[in-house]
Amino acid sequence: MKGKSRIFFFTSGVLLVLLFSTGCIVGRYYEGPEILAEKIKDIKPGITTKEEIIEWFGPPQNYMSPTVFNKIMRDLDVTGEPLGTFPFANILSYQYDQANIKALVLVLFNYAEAKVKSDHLVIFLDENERVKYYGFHRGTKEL
Amino acid sequence: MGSIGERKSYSRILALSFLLIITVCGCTIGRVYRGSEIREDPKERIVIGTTTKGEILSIFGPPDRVQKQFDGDIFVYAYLRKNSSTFTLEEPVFTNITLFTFTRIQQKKDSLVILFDKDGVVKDYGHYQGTTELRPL
Repeated sequence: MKGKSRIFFFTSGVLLVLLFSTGCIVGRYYEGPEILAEKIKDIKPGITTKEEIIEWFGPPQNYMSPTVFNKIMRDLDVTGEPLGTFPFANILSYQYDQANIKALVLVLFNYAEAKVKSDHLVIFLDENERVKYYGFHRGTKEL
Repeated sequence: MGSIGERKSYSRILALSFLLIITVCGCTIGRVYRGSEIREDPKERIVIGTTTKGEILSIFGPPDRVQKQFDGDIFVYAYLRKNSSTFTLEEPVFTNITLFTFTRIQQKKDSLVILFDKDGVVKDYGHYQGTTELRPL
């Protein structure tokens, strides 16, 4: 009986060590300036000007125009998405990224999860540099 | 005092336990989600030759990518999911040898590509829902 109980305690001890040798990892990543959601309702197609947009939201991340150069840059792995910067184009783009990372590290089992969401505002300008169309999506609230 | 046979069986169990402990098998599961799901069913919301760029922006939000072509823009929407699972069997104490590894990585994407004409009206579109093909492990 002594031998049996010894094995039982030994095995239980090992299991306990395995159970408590656990770790949790939580990470947060934020990139880009936050987009002022309360200003979105003030954007009026045909009325709001490019200057107003820049005043409200700051300089855009990407001016997107002819994509030939962008495509070459991406093909050469010089730039990834989103597209590179091209001044004086008719699209203003703002993006705010948030990533939530969580991981559970056990001895025998590990689980890791990363969710990357973006708030994205894209504004198309007409030839008079007024808003033609715009789209806004608040992806970070899905996190 | 136990018999010799009993002692032998204890030592066998001990040896087996020891072997099991030093030969660690581990499972790793990974999940990556990038972007937002495509909110609406394009079949229900897009009418070729009628739906405008402004309507698309209000229905689907801003695209993940805009490509300009000489005959009109292209909007690209994408939602990416990556599921990975790895099973490893290794001996980390004495030899640090990995005896067996099995890895499965599945990367699927929901994508919607909308082509506009020069007037900003939908010329054509393509939709593919790849994330439904993801297997849980």
